[in-house]
Amino acid sequence: MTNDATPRNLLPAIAAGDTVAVADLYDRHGSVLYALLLKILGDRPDAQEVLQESFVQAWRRAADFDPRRGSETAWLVSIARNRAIDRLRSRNLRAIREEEAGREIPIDARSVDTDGGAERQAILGELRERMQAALAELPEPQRSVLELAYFQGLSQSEIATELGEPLGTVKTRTQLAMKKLRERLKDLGWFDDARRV
Amino acid sequence: MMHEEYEELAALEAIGGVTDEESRRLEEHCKGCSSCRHALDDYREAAAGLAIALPPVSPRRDARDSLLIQIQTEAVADSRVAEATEDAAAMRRRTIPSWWSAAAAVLFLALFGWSELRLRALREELTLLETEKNAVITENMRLGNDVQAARSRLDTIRSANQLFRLAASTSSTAASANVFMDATHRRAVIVFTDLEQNDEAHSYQLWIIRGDMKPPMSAGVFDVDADGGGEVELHDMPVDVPIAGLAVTLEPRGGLSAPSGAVLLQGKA
Repeated sequence: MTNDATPRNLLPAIAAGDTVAVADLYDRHGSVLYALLLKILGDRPDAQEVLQESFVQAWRRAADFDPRRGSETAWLVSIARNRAIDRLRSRNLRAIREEEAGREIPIDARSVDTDGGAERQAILGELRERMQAALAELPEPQRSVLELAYFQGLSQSEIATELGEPLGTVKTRTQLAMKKLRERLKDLGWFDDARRV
Repeated sequence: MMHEEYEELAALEAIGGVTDEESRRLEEHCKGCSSCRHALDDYREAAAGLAIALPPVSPRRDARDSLLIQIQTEAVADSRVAEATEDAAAMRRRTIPSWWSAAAAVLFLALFGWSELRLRALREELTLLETEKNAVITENMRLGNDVQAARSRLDTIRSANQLFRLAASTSSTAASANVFMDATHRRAVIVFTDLEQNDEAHSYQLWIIRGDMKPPMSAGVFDVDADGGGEVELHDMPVDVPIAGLAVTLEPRGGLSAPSGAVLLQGKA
């Protein structure tokens, strides 16, 4: 359980050899990363395994984290996503996921994260709502290419094939989606708050 | 590539939409372009927002313990490896000064060179001893054979039941021979004395003078030493041939099927 006295970024302490700080890092970000891994992998044991691998990698590479380049959350999310996409590709789980398309991973209400500090949870909740609002403002085709790229790890060419659209159209659509998202999140003050959690 | 194009690339990079090469070029550009670097950081943060937008899910409780155990274990292992590496390096620094290393190398080379030379000498000595050993074995075998032959001759002489003498055909030579013949076992020993030493081109040839008036048959060839002495041992003398006596001629080396030279010695059985 983290509290308000816990430093904003735990990674510098971890880089300095504080293995106990890994527990705080896990409490702080575990539920976000696990939700992402479940979304990508669609399989709890796989997600659990990649989650552990991701935190071990974060522990080993903590010195690489540069707080000037982004938030601790974004850095960890990037590690977890990359590992999950690698796992997805290596196990060729895409076909399985296609069969299961539309089926949501059931979320046990008791498993919803309540750890990580009350204030932080409140900020995270606000960030989530603002992000969901920003995504909802995107046209569906733009939101769709973002999700295919981010959650399924498809390349721009694969998305073009998947959607039956020219590659140039897919690239332009993706760039427009990201640009709009960035502008909207900036308007919402999202980036400053994201770097606080 | 134009500045705007890098910004567009940054938007794609944040969600994994570029190749490794494009990613590398973008990072390179961002090192010198704060605007693009800022855009890339924002896009990455926004992409992470896609994860934050998901309803959070707590992992299993025991997963946290499992992670911490793994990290503690790896941390201890890492520190032990680091300590061991440092200890080894310190030990080398403390106990083996550089001049020691050089001296050890020289000593090693000297010992190596000396041992190589010593080894070579021992090998040569071994080869010599092997040669000598083979010579001794050969000599031993030869002496053994001589002893065997001497015993055989002694047996023949002891068991001889006919003794007769071969005498020179002319009075110009004192050459003679004593014949010890064991008629029972069809064997004989003939001991020659005072024969003139034969040269390389000739051999003395012993002939059996047959009692049936047929031409003499060869009983073998022999040489004599510088003193004119020599011995011949005959085995398996023909059973069906009546032996009237023996004779000796000088023939071309190796002998002939019939005598061609003058009879030098002869005697009746």
